[in-house]
Amino acid sequence: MLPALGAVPFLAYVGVFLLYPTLVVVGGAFVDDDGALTLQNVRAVVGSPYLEAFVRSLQLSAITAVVGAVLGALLAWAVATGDPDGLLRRVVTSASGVLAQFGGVTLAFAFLATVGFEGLVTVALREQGIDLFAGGAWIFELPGLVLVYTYFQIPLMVIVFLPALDGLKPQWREAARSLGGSAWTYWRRVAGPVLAPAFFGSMLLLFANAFSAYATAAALVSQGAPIVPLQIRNLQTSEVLLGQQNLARALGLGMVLVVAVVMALYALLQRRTTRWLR
Amino acid sequence: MRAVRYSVLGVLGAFFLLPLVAMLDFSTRGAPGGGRDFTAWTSIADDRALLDAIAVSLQLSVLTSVLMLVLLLPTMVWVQLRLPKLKRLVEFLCLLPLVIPAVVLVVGIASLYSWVSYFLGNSALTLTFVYVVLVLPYAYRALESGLQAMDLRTLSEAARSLGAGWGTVMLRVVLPGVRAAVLSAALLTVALVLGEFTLASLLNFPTLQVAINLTGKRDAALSIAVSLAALLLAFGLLLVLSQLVGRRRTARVAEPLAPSGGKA
Amino acid sequence: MTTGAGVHLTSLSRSYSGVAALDGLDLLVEPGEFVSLLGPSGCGKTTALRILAGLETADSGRVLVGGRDITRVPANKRDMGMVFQAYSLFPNLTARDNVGFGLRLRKMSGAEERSRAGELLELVGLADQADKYPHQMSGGQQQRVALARALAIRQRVLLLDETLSALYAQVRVQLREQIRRIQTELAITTLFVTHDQEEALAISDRVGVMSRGRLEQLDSPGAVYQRPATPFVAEFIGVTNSFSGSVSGSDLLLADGARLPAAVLAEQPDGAPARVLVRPVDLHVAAEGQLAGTVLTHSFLGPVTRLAVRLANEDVVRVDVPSAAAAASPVGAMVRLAVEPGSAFLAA
Repeated sequence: MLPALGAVPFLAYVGVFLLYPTLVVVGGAFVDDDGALTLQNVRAVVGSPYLEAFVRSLQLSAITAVVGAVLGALLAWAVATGDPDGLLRRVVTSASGVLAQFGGVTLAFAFLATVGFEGLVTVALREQGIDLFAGGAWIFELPGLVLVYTYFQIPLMVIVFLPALDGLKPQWREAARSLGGSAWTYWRRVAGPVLAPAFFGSMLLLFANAFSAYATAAALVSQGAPIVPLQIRNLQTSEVLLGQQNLARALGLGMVLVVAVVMALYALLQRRTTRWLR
Repeated sequence: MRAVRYSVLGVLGAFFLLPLVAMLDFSTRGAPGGGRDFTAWTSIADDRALLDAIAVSLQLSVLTSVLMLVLLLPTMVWVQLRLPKLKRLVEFLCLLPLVIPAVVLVVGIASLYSWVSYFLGNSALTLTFVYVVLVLPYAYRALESGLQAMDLRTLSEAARSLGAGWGTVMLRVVLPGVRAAVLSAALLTVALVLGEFTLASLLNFPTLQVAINLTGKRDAALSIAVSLAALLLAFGLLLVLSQLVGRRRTARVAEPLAPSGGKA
Repeated sequence: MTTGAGVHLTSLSRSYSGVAALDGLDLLVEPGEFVSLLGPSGCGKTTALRILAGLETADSGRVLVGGRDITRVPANKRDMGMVFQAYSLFPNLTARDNVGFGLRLRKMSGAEERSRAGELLELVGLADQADKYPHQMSGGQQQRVALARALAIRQRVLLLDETLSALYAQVRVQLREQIRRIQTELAITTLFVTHDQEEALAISDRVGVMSRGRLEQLDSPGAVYQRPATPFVAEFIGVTNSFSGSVSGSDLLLADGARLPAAVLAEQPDGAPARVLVRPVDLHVAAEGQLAGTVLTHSFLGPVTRLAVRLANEDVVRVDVPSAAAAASPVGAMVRLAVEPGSAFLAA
C-alpha cells in the first residue's frame, strides 16, 4: 500500500501538534492530579466564578456579533454599491483585512490612546468638564471590551459579507422592477431573503471570533479576569500549577464546545448561502 | 439612497479613523505647552528588545510559510490524485483548528512544548510547529481553491504519459499551476504569524506582539508608536497587494474563514 | 387574451462617457409583431431594449407604447415583461412563486395567483416543475420559467434580451420555436435582442440589423438575407467570401487578372478599388469558371459539402456543392469556380 504512505507525514504532524493537544484538553478535563477520573473540574466550571466568566464571554460575543454584523453589513453595502475596482473599495477591504486579523494587541493600545485615562477623547472631554470615567474604569472592564471588540468585528463582517452582496445579481433587481416592484419590494421579497442566511451565518462567525479572542483582552485587562480566556490565562500562569492545570483544560473544553456548536450552525447556513449566491 | 450611503461611510469612517488619529497624537505628545515630540518614534530604532522581536517574528513567518507549504501542498495533491478517500479526513483535520481557540490550544500544547524545548532548545523559532497548525484552515482553503481551479488529474496524467516522474509533476506542473494560491496562502500565513500574540505570550516567547505588549508596561508612547507603525505597514502591504493581484485575489487573501488566529 | 401594443422609438440617443451607444435610433414595431434587433456586441441593441424597459434612460429621444409617451415612466410602471440572458429567476422562490411575483404586486388573490401561475407554467410546459427552486432546474427550464413570469403580468410588450444565448444548441432551437408559437398564439408585441443571425432570421417577422447605434436595415428575414441594404448588413448576414480588386465595367478585376462578374459595380468608376462579397452557395464548380484554385478540404454538412479552395492569389474561399457532386472535386484537385450572376454584394 505505497500510496497511503504519502499521507503519513501530514497525519503524523497533525496527530502530534493538533490531535494530541486536543486530547490533552478533553481528557484533562475529566481527571484529577493523580490521573483518576473525576467530574470535579467540570463541576467547578459550572460554579462561581467560572460560570460568571462564561456568561460574560457569551454576552460580550453576542453584543459585539450583533452590533458588528449590523454595522458591518451597512458598511459592506455602502462599499458594494460603489465602483467594484474603485479606490474606496480597495482601501476599505485592505483596512478591514488589517483590523480584523492583524489587530490584537495593537488595537488595545489604539483604544488606550483614544479613551484611556490620557486618551485623546478623554482629555478633550475633560476640558469640556465631562469625566469619561465618572462611572469607573470601564475601559478595562466589559464595556471597554465591547467597544474594542466592535472595532475588529465590523471589519470582519465587511470581509465575510461583501462576497454575499456581490453575489446579488443585477438581473434580480431589474426583473423585480420590470414586473412592477418598487425598491422596497425587491429588498423585502428577494434581496432580504437571499441575504438572510449569509447575514446570520456571518453573525455566527463573528460570535465565534469574539468568543475565541484573547490578545486584545489580555493587553487591555491586566487585573481581574472578566472573561473565560483571561481565566485560562490566570490558571495557566499561576504559580500553583497542580490541580489548576486540569481546571484550565475543563474551561478550554467548555470553550471548544461553544465554538463547535456555533461553527456547526454556521456551516449549515453557509450551505444555504452558496446554493443561492454563486 | 446616496445620502444614506455617504452618511454610513462618514460615520463609520470617523469611528475607524479616530483611534488611529489618537495614536498619532498620543505618540507625539510633548511636554505640556510644547510642540510635537517625536522621540517615541525615533526611539523605535534604539530599542534592542523590540528589534530582536521583529527579527524573530520575521523568521517565524518565513519558517511557518515554508513548513506549511512543504507539509500541506504535496499531501493535498497526493490525496486528490491517489487517495481520494482521505480527502474528507484531511479537510476535517485542516479545518479543526477553527473550533479550537488559540488560548485553548496553549492549554493542551504546553506540556508538549517542554519536550520540544528539551530536544530543540528553548528557541522562539520552535513556535513554528504550532503556528503551522494555526494557519492550516486558511492555507488549506487558499490552496484548495487553487487546486480546484486547475484540472489536476488531467494535467498530471498528461505529464506522466510524457514520461515525467512524480517529483517532476509536483515541481514543473502543480507548483506553477497553483502559484497564485501558494502566494496567497503564504501571505495569509505571514500576516497571521506577525499578528499572533496568544501562543507566543502564554508559551513565553518574545515575538513582535509580545514585545509591543511588554513595552506598553514601561513606555506607553513608544508602544503606541510601534502599534501604529505596525498597523499602517500591514495596511500599506495589503493595499499594494490588492493593486497588484487585482480585486478577486485580494478578497481571497483577506478572507478569513472564522475566528482569526492572529487575534485569538 | 393579451393584445400587444405598438412600439415607437424616435431618435433615441445615449452615450456612455463620451461613447455613443445609440445614435438617433428610430424604430417602429407594429402591435403583435415579432421584431429582432441583430448586431455585433456594442452596436446598441441591448441599450435600446433597456431604454424601452425603463432600466436605462435615453439622453434624448422618445419612447411611445400604444401611442402613449412613456419616456419618463419608471420601469415598474411600464408593464413590460423582460426575459434576461440568464440567472434572472429569484433564487429564494419556487418556479410558481417566481411566476406569481408580478401577480401578487397587482393585488391578485392567493388562489387566483396560484391558478394563473399554474396556467402559465402549463403554457411553457413546466406544470410538473412548479415547486422546484431555480437551482434545481436546468438552464432551459429556468429560461422557460422566466418567460412564464414575464408573460404572467399580461404585459403590453415582451422584451427578450439574449434570452437563448446561454443555452445549449439543441435546447436553444426548441425554446425559440416554443417562444415563437406562444408569441403568435397570444399576439404579443415582442422585441428580441440577439447577436446570432440564424436565430434572428428563424424567429422574426422582421429583423433590424444594427451597427454603431443605428439601424442599418429593418426588413423581413428573407429580404435582409437576399437584399442586404448596406455592405455592413451583407457582411454580417451569412458566411461570405471576400474578393478585393479594382472596378472594370461591371466586373471586379483581381490582381492576377481574373475577372469576377459583379453587377453591383456597374455604377462605380472604372479603376476604383473595390471589395465584393459572395456567399459559398453562390460559387459553383464549373469548367468555364473565371477563377482557378486547388481543393484543400471537404466539410460534409448534410445536403451540401463545403469545399475550401485556395485560389491562385493564395486566398482561400468556401464553396458549397451538392454532396452528391462533391466526389467530382476531390482534395488536391484543380477546379474552376463560377460566380452565380447577380449574387455579389458590395462590401464596406
